[in-house]
Amino acid sequence: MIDPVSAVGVPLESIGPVGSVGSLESAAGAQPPTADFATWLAQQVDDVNTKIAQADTQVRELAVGTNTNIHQVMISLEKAHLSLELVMQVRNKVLEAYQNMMQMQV
Amino acid sequence: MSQIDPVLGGATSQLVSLALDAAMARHAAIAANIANADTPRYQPLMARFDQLVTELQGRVTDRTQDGEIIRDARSMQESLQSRPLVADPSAPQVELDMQMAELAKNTLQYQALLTAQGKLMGLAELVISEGKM
Amino acid sequence: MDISSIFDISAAGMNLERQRLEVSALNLANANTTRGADGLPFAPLQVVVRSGMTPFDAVFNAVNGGGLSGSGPVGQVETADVPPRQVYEPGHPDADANGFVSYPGVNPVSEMVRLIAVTRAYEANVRVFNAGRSMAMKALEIGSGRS
Repeated sequence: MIDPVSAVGVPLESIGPVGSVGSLESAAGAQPPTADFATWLAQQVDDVNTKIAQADTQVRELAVGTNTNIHQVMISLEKAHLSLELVMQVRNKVLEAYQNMMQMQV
Repeated sequence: MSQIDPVLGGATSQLVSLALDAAMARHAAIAANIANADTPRYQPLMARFDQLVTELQGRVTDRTQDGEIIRDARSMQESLQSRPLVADPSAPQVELDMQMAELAKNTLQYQALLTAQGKLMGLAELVISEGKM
Repeated sequence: MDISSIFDISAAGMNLERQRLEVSALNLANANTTRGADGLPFAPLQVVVRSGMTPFDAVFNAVNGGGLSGSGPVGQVETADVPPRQVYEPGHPDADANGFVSYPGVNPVSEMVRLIAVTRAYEANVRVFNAGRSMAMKALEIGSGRS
């Protein structure tokens, strides 16, 4: 007869530790895996901010004529968009997981 | 740490709007020049924007000056509307292929600015929609 | 390198070819002109191009560092050093002591050949210009195609 507690224990362990977030980072190609998810998320938010500010500055330069490198501006804008989208989706998933947890019957 | 420039009324939107107005003025100048290519003693025109904007160029990267940039850009827009075209001192007569080159450059600049501004606003839209769209 | 310097170079090239065309037209129109309004014989013209370009490595560094916009071709219209064509017409008012009239040394055949070369060069410049423009328009499509 299977011990009911250990039957529950197996699926929980297969979820894996928080450090598996490292695979997300290698996709983003940004920093080496950090031990703490909160730190990683804070770093990504800062990174998004930097990218958006840079894209904004380049658009200003395009408008006044100091920078006529169009593809550079487009690429910066696209990088900013993708970084922001990544952080948004991570945030959504975390919220969803939290809501799932709160709905669990004790 | 800087923030996303407010989409409505921020310095970037103001500058892009000014540049778009300037592109339309340049287009009017080019159209007039091409239409008058065979008119004797015709003085080619240019848009006045390029004279106005050189003093803005050094300041746009400094975000602490955003308030003044917005004011200056707005006053430039108004002055551009009242008198958009002046005589071009560097061109004593209309050269058709130079005008066509200017036309292509200007169209490209206009479309690049529109696309870039659309993408910037898309960033704000992403945040507002919480990534669900 | 920015896109507008590419446009400027092509535009300078087109301008130069147009100058060549004007000079050829002038030469052909005046092929039988003995002397101009100032009393001097008509001298055939040519466009001499002194490119703004410097040796290759300077150009290469300019491309990687700044722009190339100062290096389009610049044409100067100068008189060609061609001996005049002498025709024996003793009754002509401009005949000299021996009865020879000096016509400009314009060779219609070479002028026509030059016209063909000018047309092709102009077309080539237009093609370069259009290619540059297509590339820049494509650059605007970076990141589009997503819903």
